[in-house]
Amino acid sequence: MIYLDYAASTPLRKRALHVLEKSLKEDFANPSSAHKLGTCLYERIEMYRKEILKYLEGHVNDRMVFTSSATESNNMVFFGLNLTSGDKIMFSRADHASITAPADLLKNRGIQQVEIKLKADGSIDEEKFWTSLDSDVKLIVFSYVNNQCGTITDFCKLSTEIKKKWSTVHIHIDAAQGFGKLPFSLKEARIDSLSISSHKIGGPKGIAGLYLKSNINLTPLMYGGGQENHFRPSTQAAPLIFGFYEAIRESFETIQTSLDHVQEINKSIRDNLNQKLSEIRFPYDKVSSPYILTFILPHISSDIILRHLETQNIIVSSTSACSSRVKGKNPVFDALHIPPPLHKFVLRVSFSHETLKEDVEFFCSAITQIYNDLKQLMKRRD
Amino acid sequence: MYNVLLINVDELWLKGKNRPVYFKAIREHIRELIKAYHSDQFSCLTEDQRIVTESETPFSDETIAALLNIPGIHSILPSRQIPSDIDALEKEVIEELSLPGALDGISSFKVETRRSYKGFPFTSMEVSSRIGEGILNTFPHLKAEMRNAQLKVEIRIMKSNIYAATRKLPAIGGLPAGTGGHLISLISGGFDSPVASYLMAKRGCRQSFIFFYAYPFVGDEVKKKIIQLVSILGKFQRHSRLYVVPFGNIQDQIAKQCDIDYRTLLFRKAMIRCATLLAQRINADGLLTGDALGQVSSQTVWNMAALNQATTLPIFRPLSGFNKIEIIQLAKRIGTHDVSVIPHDDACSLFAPKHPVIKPSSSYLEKFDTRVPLDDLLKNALNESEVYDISITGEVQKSKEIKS
Repeated sequence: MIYLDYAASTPLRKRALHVLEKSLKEDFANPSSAHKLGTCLYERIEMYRKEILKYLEGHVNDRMVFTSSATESNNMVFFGLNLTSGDKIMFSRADHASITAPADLLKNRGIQQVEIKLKADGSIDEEKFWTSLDSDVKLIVFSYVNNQCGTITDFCKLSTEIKKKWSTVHIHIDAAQGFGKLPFSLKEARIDSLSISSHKIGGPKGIAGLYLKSNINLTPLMYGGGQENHFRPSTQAAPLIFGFYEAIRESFETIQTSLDHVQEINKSIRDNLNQKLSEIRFPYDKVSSPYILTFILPHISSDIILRHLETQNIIVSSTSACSSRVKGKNPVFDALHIPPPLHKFVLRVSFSHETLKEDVEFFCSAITQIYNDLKQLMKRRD
Repeated sequence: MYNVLLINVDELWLKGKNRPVYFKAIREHIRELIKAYHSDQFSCLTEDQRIVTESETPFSDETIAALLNIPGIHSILPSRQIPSDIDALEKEVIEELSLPGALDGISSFKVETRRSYKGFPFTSMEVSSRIGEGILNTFPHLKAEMRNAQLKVEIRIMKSNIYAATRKLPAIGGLPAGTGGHLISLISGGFDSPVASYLMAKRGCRQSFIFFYAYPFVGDEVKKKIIQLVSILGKFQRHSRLYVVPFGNIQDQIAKQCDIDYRTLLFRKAMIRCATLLAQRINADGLLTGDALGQVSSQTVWNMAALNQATTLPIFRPLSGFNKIEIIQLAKRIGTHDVSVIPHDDACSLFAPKHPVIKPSSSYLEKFDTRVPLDDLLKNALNESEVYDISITGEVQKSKEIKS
């Protein structure tokens, strides 16, 4: 099988799997228990928490809250800030649903939305951004790497500039797609919170994190035993946290070599397909994470191509939930300036350090063949 | 509320000597269906040319609605169980007639009483006139009429209780399931084939559904849609099955090797042949399609004739004379409309020629058959098909049985 959907989820890293297996067997105690089995787990969790903060290069007093998913982390920020009617939030319609859906819910409570507009290459239209920012804006959300098109937002630079003028606005980063893949340092940023995910970097599913700056307070979504400093009560999933940490450790240890490798893969696909398929377009390749490559291949519905690839055991994403004959609009593609008639022709491939060059070469040949065959087949006589 | 259901059987005057067989079939169907919906014990007997089911606990609306889909039932009269007391009887009859909608469009009525328990202190006539008076007093706009009354209140006096029915719920009618033979029903995601299936179910045809799944040209969403459709159609059947035949490769082969204008016809021909193979395997007696004459260009009389040549079995096309609007109206009534409208990829339209053949050349078709023999491909596809069981309540589950 050739798996090219790493932006959706990744297989477990070997070391993470090993840690997880061992821990699931041995670390059954409750980390909140007073006996030595509990306290020992508690201490390990606290140690890893600090280590993760170190990878982020946050301040020693900053906090890392373990959650069940990046969706939960994002929701904690939206609903924990106690925004009130008349407040404004800024985000992009190209963001993940765990940003746009909570924002839409808050709209019903009188919280206004200010859309962060993107340019045709997927990057933020900064001119428009600055003019729409005012003192009523209480929360700004940026996706570090957009999950659909891969565009990178330089949140370090942007947040520093924003805070110079608007020091009290809460800046939240959804880093699920960039964390552990593209290096960044919170030393250079002035953000208040940031979501990270485990299963996007070879860690187990069901565990994620929310970085919170030291002075930030959030009203929790749940109440209970006071775990995670009251931010997220629930018995801590020690094995998942340990597996997550292992995946983070390995990702950060190899972050540059993986990036170099993926850059090469990405370039080779673009070169290869540009050569083979004259109609292909890569609208976002200038400002994108090399881990994600989105392209438009007109005439044949992406779902049909996806299934034909699937028959050859090549797994990609069409990023479009709507079937090719559905005329439904995809708001994310709208925000990314893809004209509606082209929505059904968008395909996304995404990579990891494990992606092999020969596999992507095979993918390029396969998709070329499929595309040409289908076009031939769907020709109608006039 | 309704502990007794009086069930009228349709078209019995036609049946003569077959009558006991039809009654038996319909009673068994009713028994099985009630068992699936009703948790308490019940009886189901034939009385005076109709079927009477009785239970200690009232039959739910869901049970009654399901019974109305049984082929061969003309109508159902849900009856209240009332203590043996004439005042209580009058009160409950009035109460029932006061329910919203109970008297919509009704201007005349009659009361019919049968006294099985002769110990009851009033005669049948006395009960009828007493209740009739009560109705006239409460609903002065109604007229009592002996002939052609629009509403009939049926009262049965038993030893321990009285049963009263004021409503006659129309059922789908027709002939009992299974008495009309076994058809292979070719089903697609459109409006027509589900309606065709319903029409033949009504005529007592047991059906096995076959769906030609053109993966990878179409995806899972089409299969899900078909499962939803057969789930609705399964309620007019007494257990049936769905065969999902992988067909993408076959369509691909045909499309690549035939004259473009013949594509649609040749796809359909392959489907007829495959359905015939299935019929032979499971001993079915005919095929059933949703063709309506001239609706699209592949549905010409000449194309239909060409398809008839592809099988030795009769092909039933109950929609031949239907207009599209009529089909859609029926689809709305049987509940398949809302599923059929869900958009989906359709492999035939992906491949559709701009000018499909209207009058096919038989010599071209013959030549194509010799040039592109599909027998093995069709057999293999049938062997590879996924089989789903459709329960009497319309639940669809992957069949546990090993592939035939």
